[in-house]
Amino acid sequence: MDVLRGLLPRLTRRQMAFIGIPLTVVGLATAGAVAVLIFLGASGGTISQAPVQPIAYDHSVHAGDNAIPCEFCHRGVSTGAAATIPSVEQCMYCHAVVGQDLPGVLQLTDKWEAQEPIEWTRVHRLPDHVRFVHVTHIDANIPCETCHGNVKTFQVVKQVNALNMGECMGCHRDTTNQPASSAAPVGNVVLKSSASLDCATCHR
Amino acid sequence: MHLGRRKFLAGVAGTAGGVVIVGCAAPERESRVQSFVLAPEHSLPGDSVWFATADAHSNVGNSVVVRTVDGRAKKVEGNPAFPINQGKTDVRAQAAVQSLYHPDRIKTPMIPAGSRGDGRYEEITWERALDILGAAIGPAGSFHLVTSRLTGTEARVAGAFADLVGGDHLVYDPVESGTFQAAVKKILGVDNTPHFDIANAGTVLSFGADFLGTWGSSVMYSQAYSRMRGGDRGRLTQLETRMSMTGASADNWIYVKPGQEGALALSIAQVIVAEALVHFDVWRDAVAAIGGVDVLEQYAPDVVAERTGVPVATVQEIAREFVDRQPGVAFAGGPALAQTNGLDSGAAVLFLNLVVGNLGKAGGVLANPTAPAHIPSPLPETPFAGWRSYTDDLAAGAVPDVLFVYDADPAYGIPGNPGFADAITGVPFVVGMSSFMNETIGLADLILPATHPFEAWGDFAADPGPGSQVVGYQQPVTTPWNDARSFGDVLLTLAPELKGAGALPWASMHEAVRAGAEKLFGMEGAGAAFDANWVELLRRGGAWEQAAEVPEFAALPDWDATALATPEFAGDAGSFRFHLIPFATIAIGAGNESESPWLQSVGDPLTTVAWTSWAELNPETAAELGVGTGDVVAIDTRHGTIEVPVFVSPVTPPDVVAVPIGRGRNFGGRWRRDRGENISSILDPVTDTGTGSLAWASTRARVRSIDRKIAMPTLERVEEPHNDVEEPVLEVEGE
Repeated sequence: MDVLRGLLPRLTRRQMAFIGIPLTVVGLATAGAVAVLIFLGASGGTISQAPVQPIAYDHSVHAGDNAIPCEFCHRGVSTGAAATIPSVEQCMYCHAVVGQDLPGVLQLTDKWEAQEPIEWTRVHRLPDHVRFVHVTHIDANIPCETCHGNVKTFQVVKQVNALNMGECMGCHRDTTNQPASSAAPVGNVVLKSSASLDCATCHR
Repeated sequence: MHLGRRKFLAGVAGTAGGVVIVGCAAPERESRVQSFVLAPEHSLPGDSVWFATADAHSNVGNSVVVRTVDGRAKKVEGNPAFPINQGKTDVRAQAAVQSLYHPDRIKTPMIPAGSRGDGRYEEITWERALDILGAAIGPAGSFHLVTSRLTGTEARVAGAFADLVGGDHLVYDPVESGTFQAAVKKILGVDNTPHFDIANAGTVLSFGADFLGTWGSSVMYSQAYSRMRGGDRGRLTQLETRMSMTGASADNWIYVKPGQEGALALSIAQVIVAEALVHFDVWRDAVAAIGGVDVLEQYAPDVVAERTGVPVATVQEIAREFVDRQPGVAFAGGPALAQTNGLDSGAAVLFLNLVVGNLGKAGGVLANPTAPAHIPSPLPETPFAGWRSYTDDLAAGAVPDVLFVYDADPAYGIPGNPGFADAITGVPFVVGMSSFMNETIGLADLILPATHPFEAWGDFAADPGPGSQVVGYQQPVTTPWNDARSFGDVLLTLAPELKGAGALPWASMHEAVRAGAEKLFGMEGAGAAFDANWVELLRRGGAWEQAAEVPEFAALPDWDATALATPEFAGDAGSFRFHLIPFATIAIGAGNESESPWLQSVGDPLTTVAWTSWAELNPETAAELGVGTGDVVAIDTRHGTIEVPVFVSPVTPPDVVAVPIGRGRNFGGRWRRDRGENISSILDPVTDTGTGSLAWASTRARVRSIDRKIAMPTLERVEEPHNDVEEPVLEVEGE
């Protein structure tokens, strides 16, 4: 108040309160709204639409009809943090001899011959302050579908879960319906979740 | 339209909300994700992959491991297996990643868009650049190659290329090692740097060698010093004209008048001999070889105390402690050897090791193996006298048709008139190759971007070694960030075009470095049979188990102390009362690494000054001149004037003004340009009489106050020196 009084010496205490109180209320409300918006914006919040990809890759043909396991293409998923998208070379392992006349494969072959990367549009993205490690979830026998939906039926991949902190915590807290993890007791009885609830497990 | 209060507030709230939402959304580029074309087998996105390679900025041979993520270098650590730096690095190695991604690196080949040196360039392709270069060198009658002190295979490729096209190869280094090496040759009879076994020493006498900061293999010496301090706790006596970081760490810091280090060393030797502190069998032959006991008598402490500035009792104490706490080791470097009598000073100091008989003993001086012939240690630099006469010849019109300058900046560092920049105006075609622009390359007709060491192949033999042979390997840890190529690869691309296929035995630096490794293992031409060794070699960062020939120290010194040269100073003491002592700083060294803002902002260990040049003055001298810290003074020598702010330092002797080297550049990026002053520009081009190396600490100067003050960029608040000895810092009450 002394500062305000120095700046606005001609205002009475009543006039200052008249100005100051609404300003404070509006300020706090704005800060709260910004915080909520940042939280929602950064933590996934909304479920994305299925973006258009540079090549019309169809998961229902690969993972569905031909029953190619997810790990066959997303090779990092069982060894590291990122599931990884397959290299152009890896696509060509099969498509050098399979479906060469299909439009998507022709696009792929052009990229391979030019030795250029394919620029896909990301479907799933966690905020920068989250470190999600695929391999620990694969090791715990969590099916890919738990988070990504039944991808083997998708012609175009879309995000089906919000992938926000609430969903993570829902699984991590669940002590009754846990899939049997490799570290858990043998059998169908899992007494307690082995998933960590420490903040620093994901936020580090 | 009527804009009411409610509508206004609603509008403001809506706009603010929109800004927040748009601001918080992930950038569009983050929603794009590229697939590899060929996925690296050893790497996963987001996971670290470590590569061992050479320390980018070390000329002595440290090895580092670099953490890479997704193909990009992120962090440098010392290679824990490497015998020289043993997992440690210095500040310059840490900043290597910043030089790698520096926005002001030369990105593509360029030719001047206007006249030479006017700063306007046209970017061209490598194909065109190599065509231009080949067309210039091919028909050239004379070709001169100027490089820094190249090492290992790169040095061999440069030499082979110069021979192939019939050219001369000159080597430039602003901080010369020639005087030290000549002193080693005279006293120890070997051509390489011996191993000073500081780790096992009881006493270390260092004459001006800042071995914990900027002298020699400072990372190796720092660890040795740490081990010396453990256990029986050896003692360090530092004798010098300007307190260095090593001096600040010493048990005993002794001021020696400039150029008198040799006299002081012989004075210490005289005490040892005269007081029979060591059995005469040990020193008899060595003393006889340098002129006999009579010669030493001329340097008795009472005779030379006034010359050296060191009291008789102090000399006696140093001599007695040196003998009492054997093994001990004595060596000289820095300003002590940058005098007109530098060679004699260096020889006299090394002679102390002979007097106490500690050659070849743990804690003394050990011989290092000679580097393998095909992986030479850093090339010796052309002495300054050679550079001075070369510059004069160029200015007089004796110019080569093509001058190729790689990773060297003689236009910045060579003092005297005419300057190198003026001298090369008559050269028809100048090629400059470097990662950053510098004063010399700014004058080139063709500018080529050089790779960072993290992008290129190379190897080195550590110099000095730790008493055994250590070879290190440099492998690319990332693909070139710009359109840069390695110097060796450019020469190896040009050679067959100029002289036909097979002109040089290698097609690339990778091939040349690997061929050298095969030879090192005695598997020359092994091809695929060497694959496993090669991978293991690169994984470890080097090889240090190979037996190597160790040269023997000479039985007697080849040096005569009867005519010990007296120092001569440029400028008369009447007009120029100060000794001007330049010094290298731990961060930017001689200025080669000053492009990095990390390094620019590293404070000097003693003054904490960063980002600029400064002049260290004694408090009494400063008071006499009426200046304090931050006041700008003019420093005049016979060759010019620079203006730098003063740093009042109680450890600066009254007759000394000390100024760091390496700043005051006009090229090389936004963080290097226009910071501080170039001390080399006002040095007198006098040389050591024995070797022709630049006597860079023998210039005298005048200091004038000018009416200007700046806020000193220091990391710590500058305190006035606390000189009141009557007031104890710590009072202990009671008993």
